[in-house]
Amino acid sequence: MNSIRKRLLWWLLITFGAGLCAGGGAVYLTARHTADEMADLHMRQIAGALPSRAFSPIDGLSREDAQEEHIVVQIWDRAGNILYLSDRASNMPPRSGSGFATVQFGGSEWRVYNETVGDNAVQVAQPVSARTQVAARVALRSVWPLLALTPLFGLAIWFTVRRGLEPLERIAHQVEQRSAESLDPIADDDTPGEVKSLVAALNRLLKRLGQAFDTQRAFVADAAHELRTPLAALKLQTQLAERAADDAERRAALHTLHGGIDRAGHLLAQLLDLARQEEAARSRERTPLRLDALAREAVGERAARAFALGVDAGVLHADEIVMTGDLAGLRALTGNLIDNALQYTPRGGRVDVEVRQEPGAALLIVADTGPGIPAEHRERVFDRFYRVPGMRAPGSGLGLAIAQRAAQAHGAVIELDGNPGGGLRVTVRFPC
Amino acid sequence: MRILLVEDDPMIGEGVRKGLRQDGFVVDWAETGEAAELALSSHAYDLMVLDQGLPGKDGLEVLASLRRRGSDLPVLIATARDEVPARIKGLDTGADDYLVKPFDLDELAARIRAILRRRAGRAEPVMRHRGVEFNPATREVTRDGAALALTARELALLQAFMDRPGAVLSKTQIEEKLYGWGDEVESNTVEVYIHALRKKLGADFIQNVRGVGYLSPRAAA
Repeated sequence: MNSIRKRLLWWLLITFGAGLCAGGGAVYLTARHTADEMADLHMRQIAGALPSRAFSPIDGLSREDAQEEHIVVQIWDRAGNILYLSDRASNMPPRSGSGFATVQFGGSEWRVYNETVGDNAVQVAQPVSARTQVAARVALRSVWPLLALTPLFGLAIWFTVRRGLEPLERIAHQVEQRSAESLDPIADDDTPGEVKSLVAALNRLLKRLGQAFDTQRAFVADAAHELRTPLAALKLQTQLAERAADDAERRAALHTLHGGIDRAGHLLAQLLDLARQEEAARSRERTPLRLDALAREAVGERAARAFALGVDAGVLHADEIVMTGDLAGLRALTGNLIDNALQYTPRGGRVDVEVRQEPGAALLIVADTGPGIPAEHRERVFDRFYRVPGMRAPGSGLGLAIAQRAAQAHGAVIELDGNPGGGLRVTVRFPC
Repeated sequence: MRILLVEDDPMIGEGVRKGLRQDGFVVDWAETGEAAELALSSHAYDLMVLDQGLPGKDGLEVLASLRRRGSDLPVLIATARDEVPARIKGLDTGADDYLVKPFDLDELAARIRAILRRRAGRAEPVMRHRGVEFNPATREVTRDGAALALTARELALLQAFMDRPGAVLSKTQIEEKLYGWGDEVESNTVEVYIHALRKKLGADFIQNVRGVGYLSPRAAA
């Protein structure tokens, strides 16, 4: 399992074990060195204490009597006759020279010391393994209390790791306890610094989520409100039609009713369009298209309505512009801008559409001779359902919001200005 | 009964005005908060039907400033905002009732009648005065048990007197109750309607207080 606790536990135990081994090794090496010095000194002392005159040969001691250090002493006279051998099993040949040396004998290593004491040649030898054993014993003796304490250390490490990870677990528990709606920040008092940054990041995410939820909630509330209004109008008109005393009155009520149904239908279509633009902003299919052709088409589709409204709508100028974009989104953008212009332009007014290539930008401009938008409201008209106070228009309040979403999906910005001749001038600036 | 309707949606405004007129109310229609305040300052209304979401000055602001000025004009909020907090806020700001769109015209009229009835301190839906019974819901009038046929204006005038028995109404007050904006008021029409009412309900039902106005005296013991 990939758990911090297990990892910590393992690493701490491995480190501890390695430390123990290294410590034991170091103790062993030191002990070995000391043992060497001690044993050498000992051997020299033995050699010094031996008789200096010749004596008749003595039988050595048997193997069983050999001391723990397993030191073998040999004495020869000047003629090279062996006078003494402490251990018959270890009858090493006499070594020429004096002082210490390490020699091979009987398949193992020996430390040998030679000295001439008076008339006798003395050789004191000790197997190296005996010294090693001593050092190992010393090392073991100093390490074993630590070894004995290992389980205790393990327990301590386990508890420490557990305590150290407690804040993480507490936070996990807190998060787990939450319902899907609860977006309150996670409490981060008395959390350690390392976890605090995680909690802070989580809290920032929760806050952003909360804001997104609020926007969505506000939109749903607004949408419900906006849908209720045409429904209320429909209900009123049906009741008036029911109450109507004569045919003429009934016809009038039904006529208004039709208008109301169209209005509710338009609002629904716009709501769907907005949802589509917001969805499309994430996943958008892009095709090569001609912006000028798109603008001409959009004006053409609205020509009959413009004529009925008594508004002169047309394309003033169109540079040939090829770009890649989302056809449906750009149609919604152009259509909504032109619809808006037609809606606010009084009879006898003009709506002019232009498509212009500028260095670094393609421009789509829709200008009208309507009342325009006061500068202080230009920022807010892109909000969903925002209507300029005092402006009488039957619109859904979504047109510019849809246009804005579609523009954003193309990296374009919408600028609102006053038209030099009075009215509104909307410029969509596409980067290219 | 003269009602101020504040509603920004032209279709709803037109519909409510038409419907309430059919129910015998005199209705003035204001489309913005500002227009509503102007109307409130220049006319006497019996009740205001207020839409909450108005462009410019919001409905609740209109209501709040009305209450700040100490007015006890009955107010019915008719709005598309149906969330409980919005209703609570509306009522706590000083509304007498809260109706969510889409609403039923008949229900709106019934609620208006109920508010007006409570305001007049009556629990009974039928008004009684000097042997005359008037039912505002059905708009039926009887005198000593016999049904009477009254025109819309006569009914409005009758209701004005029955609403406050024993109180003197000036000619201007009566005109306010009979005519909305845009209604032509001829100089002697009030007298014409009073005359007609007296003829149907008995000469002593309405008495003239010279130089002051008219009253319908409380029943003589």
